[in-house]
Amino acid sequence: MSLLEVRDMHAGYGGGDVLHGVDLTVHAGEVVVVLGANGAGKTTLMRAVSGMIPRRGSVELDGTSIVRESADGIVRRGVAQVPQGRGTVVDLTVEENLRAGAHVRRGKGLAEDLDRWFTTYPRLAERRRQKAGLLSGGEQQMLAISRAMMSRPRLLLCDEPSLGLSPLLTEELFASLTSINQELGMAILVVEQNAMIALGIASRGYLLEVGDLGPSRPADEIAADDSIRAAYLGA
Amino acid sequence: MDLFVARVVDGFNNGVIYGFLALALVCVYRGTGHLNLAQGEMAMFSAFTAYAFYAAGLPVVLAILGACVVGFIAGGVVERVLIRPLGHHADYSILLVTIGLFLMLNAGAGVIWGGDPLPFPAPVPSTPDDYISFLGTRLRYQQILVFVVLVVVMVGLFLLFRFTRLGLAMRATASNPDSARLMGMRVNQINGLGWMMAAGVGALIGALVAPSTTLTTGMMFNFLIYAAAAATLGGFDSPVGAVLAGIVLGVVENLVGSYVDWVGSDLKQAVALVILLAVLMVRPTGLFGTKKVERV
Repeated sequence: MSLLEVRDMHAGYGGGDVLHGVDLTVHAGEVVVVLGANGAGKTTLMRAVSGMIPRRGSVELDGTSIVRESADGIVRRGVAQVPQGRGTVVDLTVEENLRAGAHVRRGKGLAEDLDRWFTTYPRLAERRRQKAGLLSGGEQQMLAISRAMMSRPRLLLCDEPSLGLSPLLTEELFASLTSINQELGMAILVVEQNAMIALGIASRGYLLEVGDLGPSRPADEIAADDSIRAAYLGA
Repeated sequence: MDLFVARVVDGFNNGVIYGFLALALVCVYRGTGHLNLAQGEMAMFSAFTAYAFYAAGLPVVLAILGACVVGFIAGGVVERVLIRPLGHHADYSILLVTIGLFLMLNAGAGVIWGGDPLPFPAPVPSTPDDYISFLGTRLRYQQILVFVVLVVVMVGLFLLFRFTRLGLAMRATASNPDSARLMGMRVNQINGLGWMMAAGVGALIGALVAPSTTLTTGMMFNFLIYAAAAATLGGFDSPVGAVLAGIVLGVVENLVGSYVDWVGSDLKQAVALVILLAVLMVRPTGLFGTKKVERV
């Protein structure tokens, strides 16, 4: 059984649907990428899965329908999102951001998890008592990933993590997503414009074109496809 | 010298009330990111509610606690019915709704309880002999009580915001509601709780202040201006700052009013506003507030 199973999902913002019947699957432990240009509906897709905007159709997590679940309930069921623009809580310190990320958790292990992410991203550790709004873009992206991981999710959604980052930082960031996937077995669904680097860490990919999502294909096949190279990879 | 001390103490006692009401403003702000202009009128209405309980035969202390409970619940209802439907980002609409609420409560209290001042008893002995001497001036039991309750509430709020999971969630929600939802926080409930706490604290203030001001529909109006000034001065997100700023305002205002002839009691209020203006020009976040930072 797949971890996330989306069938015929429609979603939008009041005025009309942006997504017209999307099918999408993420298996446990897998990295899946959704590629799409500006305005294709990538962020809408993420916000629809996490319940931040109204949606219709079928959305199942581990076989249980979450289509009627509230956004906070979906987090409690184990779906964490790294939102576009990083979602930094600028008035809280770095450490408070991480503690807030653990809001849905009960019980022990919080200190260990803080240690883990401060070890993974030492630059966050150096700034743990600073207001998070003072961090650089790259640091805020690290914070966003750590904050999402603090909820101990089963599925991590990443909305354009490369946005506004230098190529070098983008590479570092995707490397750390890979290790989160490999070391923790974390399933990751990432939407990206930066196709090449995203395909590099994914096993499967989808192409999102103005609200329609085709069938998934192996990531290396997409990367080798000339027509897609022309459309998305700038080559 | 005695007169000086007496004036400081008088100002201090006023300042305690400013700071107390400022605390209620901070509750709403910390829980929702909004300013509630009806805070003073909610406190006034609660004081009348306490009076109604008292008039119905309850002991004073129970009447006050009863009014706090009613205020707490009413705060939640107000948030649910008037504020929540507007959405989290409707800052100006919410501000206007709180002005409407202000007028509604003010007129409503007048309709129910009439325009004449009503006597409200203090929960502690308050005959002319109930005071302790302090540097040649008198501290009345009632004034001491207000101060002690203020300190307890302030410390409680400080600990809540600083050290608890709920307090952290309230701050996160006020700062970034979208991210708060993505962290699994029940943003609506947290907003409601901010209003409930503020209204509960407000009820306490109203009922504790009523014995000295007498109970009228206008009893909180002046205080709200000072409280807003104190909250701004102290930094809207800092309970301790709000209280300290309230006390400083009260003392300075009274001293300037007493010793500067052309200010007198007529221009006292302007003193508070001038201080406010001066501080904001130097420190826009207030004396104790944390700087809002944002990098894009």
